[in-house]
Amino acid sequence: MANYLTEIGEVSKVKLHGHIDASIAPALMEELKPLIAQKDKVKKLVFYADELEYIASAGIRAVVFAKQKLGGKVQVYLVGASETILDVFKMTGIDKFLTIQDAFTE
Amino acid sequence: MLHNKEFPARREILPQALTEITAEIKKYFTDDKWINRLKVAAEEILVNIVDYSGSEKFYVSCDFLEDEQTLRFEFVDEGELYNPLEEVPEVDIDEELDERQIGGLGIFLYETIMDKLEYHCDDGKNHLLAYKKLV
Repeated sequence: MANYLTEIGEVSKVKLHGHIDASIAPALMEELKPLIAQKDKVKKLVFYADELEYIASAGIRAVVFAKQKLGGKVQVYLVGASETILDVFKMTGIDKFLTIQDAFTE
Repeated sequence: MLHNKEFPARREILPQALTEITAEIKKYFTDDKWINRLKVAAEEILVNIVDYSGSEKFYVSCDFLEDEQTLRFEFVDEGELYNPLEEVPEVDIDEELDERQIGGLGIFLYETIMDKLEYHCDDGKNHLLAYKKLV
C-alpha cells in the first residue's frame, strides 16, 4: 500500500506524495474507500500535497471521487501544493471546489 | 531522441515511458509549468491507448520542427482503429462538482494543453500527432 490515508475522523487526512499517475491512482482510490465508508464522521478532508511531485487526471479523479461521495457538507482542502500541481487542478476547474491553503488552518 | 520507441501497452510501463518523454520535453522547454503540462498531456494520450485501444504495444516519437519552433509527438498503436478526436467529450469546468461526470478529463486536458492534434490511420495503425509551440 502506498499509505496515503493517514487519519479518519472529523478532520480526515490524506498525504499525497510522489507521482500520482494512472499506474498509481487506483491505489489512492482504494485507500479512500474506508474513508467514504465512514463518511458520517467526516466534517473536513485535508489532502496534504507538499510532497506531491506530479498528478494527472487519474489522481484528480480520486479527489473528485472523494468530494462527490462525501457530499457537499464536507469541506475538502488541498494544502501545500506547488504551482505546477495547482496548475493541473486549475485547468480542470476542480480547484474552485476545494479550499486551497499553503498550510492547514481550520 | 525518441524515434518510434516501442513500449508494452501496460499501465505499469507508463512511468518509464513518461520519464523518456519528459527528457525530450526538457530539451526544448525550460518552464516547469509547461514541462509538467506536456507530461500530463502525454500521459493522458497514453492512458487512452493502454486502457482502450486493445493494442499490445505503443510507439512514441518526438521531434522538434525548427521552422515552426514546435515540439511534435507522435503516438502510434496497433489497436482497434479509432479517432479519439471525433468524440471529444464536453467538460464544463464551471459545472457543479456533484454533477460532474468523472470521465473525459484526460482528453479534455490534452486538448487544452496542446496547440494542435491530428489523427490518421496508416498501415492499420492509429497515429495521433500532438504539437506544442515553444512558449
